[in-house]
Amino acid sequence: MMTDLPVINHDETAEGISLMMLRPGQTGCVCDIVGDSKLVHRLREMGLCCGAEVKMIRSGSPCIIGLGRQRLGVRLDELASVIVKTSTDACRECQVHTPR
Amino acid sequence: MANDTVPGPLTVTLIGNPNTGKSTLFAALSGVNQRVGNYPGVTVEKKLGELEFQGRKWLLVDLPGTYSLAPRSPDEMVTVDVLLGRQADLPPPDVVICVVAANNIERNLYFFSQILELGLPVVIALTMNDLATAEGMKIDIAGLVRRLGVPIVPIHARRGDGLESLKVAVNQAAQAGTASLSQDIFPEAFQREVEQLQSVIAGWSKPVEAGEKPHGPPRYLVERRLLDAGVHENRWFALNDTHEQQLNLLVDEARQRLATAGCRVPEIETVSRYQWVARQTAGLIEIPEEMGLTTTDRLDALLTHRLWGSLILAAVLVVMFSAVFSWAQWPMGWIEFIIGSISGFVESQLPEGALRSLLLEGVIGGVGSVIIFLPQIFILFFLMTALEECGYMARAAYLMDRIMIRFGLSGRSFIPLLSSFACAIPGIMATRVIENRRDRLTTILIAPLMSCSARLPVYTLMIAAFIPQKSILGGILQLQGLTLFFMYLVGVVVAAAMAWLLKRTILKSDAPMFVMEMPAYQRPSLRVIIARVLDRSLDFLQNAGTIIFAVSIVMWGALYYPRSSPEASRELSANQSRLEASLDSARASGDSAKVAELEGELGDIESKLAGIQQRNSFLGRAGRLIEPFVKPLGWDWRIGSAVISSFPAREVVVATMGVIFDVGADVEDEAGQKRLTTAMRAATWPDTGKPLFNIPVALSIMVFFALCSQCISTLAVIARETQSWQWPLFSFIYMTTLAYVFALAAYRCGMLLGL
Repeated sequence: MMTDLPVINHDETAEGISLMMLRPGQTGCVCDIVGDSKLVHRLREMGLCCGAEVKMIRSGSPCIIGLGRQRLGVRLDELASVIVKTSTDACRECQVHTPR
Repeated sequence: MANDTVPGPLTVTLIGNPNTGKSTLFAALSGVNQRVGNYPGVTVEKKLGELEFQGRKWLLVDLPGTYSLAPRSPDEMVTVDVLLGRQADLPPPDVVICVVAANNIERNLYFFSQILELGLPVVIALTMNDLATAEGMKIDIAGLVRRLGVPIVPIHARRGDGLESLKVAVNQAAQAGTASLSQDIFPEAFQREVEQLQSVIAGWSKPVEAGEKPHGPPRYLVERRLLDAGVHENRWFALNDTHEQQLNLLVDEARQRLATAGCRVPEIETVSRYQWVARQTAGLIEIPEEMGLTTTDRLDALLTHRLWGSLILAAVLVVMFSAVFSWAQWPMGWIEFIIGSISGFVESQLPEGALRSLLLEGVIGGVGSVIIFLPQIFILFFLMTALEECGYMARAAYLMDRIMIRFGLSGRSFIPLLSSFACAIPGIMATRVIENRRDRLTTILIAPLMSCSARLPVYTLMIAAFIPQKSILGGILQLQGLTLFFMYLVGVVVAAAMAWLLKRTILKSDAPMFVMEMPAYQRPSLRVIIARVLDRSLDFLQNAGTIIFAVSIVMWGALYYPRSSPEASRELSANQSRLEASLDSARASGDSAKVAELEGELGDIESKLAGIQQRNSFLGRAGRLIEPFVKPLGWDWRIGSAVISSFPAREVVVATMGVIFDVGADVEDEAGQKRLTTAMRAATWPDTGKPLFNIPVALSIMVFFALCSQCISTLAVIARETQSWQWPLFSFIYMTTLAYVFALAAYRCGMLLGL
């Protein structure tokens, strides 16, 4: 279900984009994680599940993301990618709890 | 388990996420009464401690930190087995202490929800309270206790706060018995499926006798079977083939039903558990809306910076390695002195003969040459544990991931490879943090290619003897220093190429995903560091005491037997007796100049005798046997047998060279080294009379030692860590092949360049 991601020029979008595309300081709301099931599960266990708010702290590969108060060094590539939405409304769609 | 007489020890198991201060708590509770081992068949560290509370002994079991109780590997299954009392060598836990970090409470409670389902008495030790408070968090502990139904004790292990209350709580939990199973974590549909599966499996196990409780599998295991994709979990239920196939079918069906009911496996687990955590903590945890920058964030802005962070990392490494070499000099000197004194004592107490030689050269010499590295290992481990405990190592791994990925590895392999520059043994032991088995194996296989400190004596000897003291590039660089650097570089480059190759062939897998928690920076606990350093050092000593001991004796035998015939050395022996007689008379007459002269001559004769023996020994013969193979490298049989003799430990080659070139084994000091250097420069090929050594030969020897696998301890550690004999064998064969090929190339290139 992964299609080529369109180039995003505006800051807020209801479209899902890859977490990697967030700029430092920007936050997004996780709406899907795709890829190898074991790795996806590991990321979910760390709290990166649907509805979680993530903040890009240092972009690049690997990047550092803020998930609540924890900081994770993550390299996301062809193995797994996290789809986030940056619009504030998008987060409300997820009924799942956001780990703070 | 109330007993009328003396109650047995209370088994208390510690578990929690990584970076929660669990090790600090374990060290604070058990003090020095801890021992470390391995669970049979896996490389999971088995840490046990003891303490006494209110007249009862406690057995503390520290399980490795983990984010989840969903076993992904045999190693992680051990954790589950210990908790469920299915590990044969440990009693089932009476109480579980779940260590929960306050500053990451949601993720920690996710893990706690898994513990809760085991149906054991649980006590929560709440750590990192000061960090949470500093970040403006407020936790209503009393409210949480009511909701979770387990005691929560806030502690500060390093200061010792809360430890007594924790012990009291654990004691009470032990007396109260089982904690109630929390049934409301998963949706009803899921729970029904688990119950059905559980009763089916229970029906398959042996019939229940009258009065006995039905022994179905633990509910948690059934739940895992339904949630986890792997098939290895069937092992838990001890089923026959028919039942196993039936179970696989039933699980598939159940998963399909759940998917249509909106509970897709495995998402259902994380979703349900985090929802449960949210329900439990709702209204009890206060978090400031807009979080300011924490100290950790401010430090990270610098320490994880691509340029500044990398420069700081380089500086840290330089300081660390110079510390390993300079601080270790003193204790190494002491150890040398002690070993020397023991040898001296043995020498004076025993008559000359096989036994004395066995003790001196075999036992003391062999084991001593390994123990000498203990200070370096100790210091390296001390510094690395300190950096790890304060949270810096995660940043180093983060910075290095960018480079490591080019060779198919992740940042996690960096630390083990780094420590291998001091010694491959701690490096290989440090690979335990690498989750992916293939990555871990790759790292283990390339770690011995890093130039460890045992290679240094070989490099120094060869460089001092044959590389001219010339400065190049207008005096900026020294040729000798450059050669040394080049030797280190050879190891690194070949290791990188090998990693690349291994990950594309026999250990093929995608570049591992890198997910690493960057824990908040904190002051390390000295107690934890010392405890860990002691563990590792003892581990190393144990190794030295067993395998190295055995191999040293074998090598001694190969050098000592068969004894050379008296005819071969008759002339020398006659000379020796004559000199000894005149030495005695010179001593009697007090002619000190004469004594010194005679002693010198006598020493030469002894060295020559030793040389004759060496040539005649099995090892010398082996050297001659392999001469055709080593001749292309520019070596003669003497170098060949020195290389064979250094199989147990490569640094031994220097001493063997000393014996072979008739200057005695005592070449450690400056004068000895000078004598050896002179002898080596004078050595010639018997048939042509050309000098044996030149720069290409020196280079080929150095390159050979840079890449070869001449270290029995490393091979032994690889065997233990991989639980097999194939990998050390593979390691030995591939490294020796590489060493030969590269030594050949170095010699040929050197000759072509006319060096």
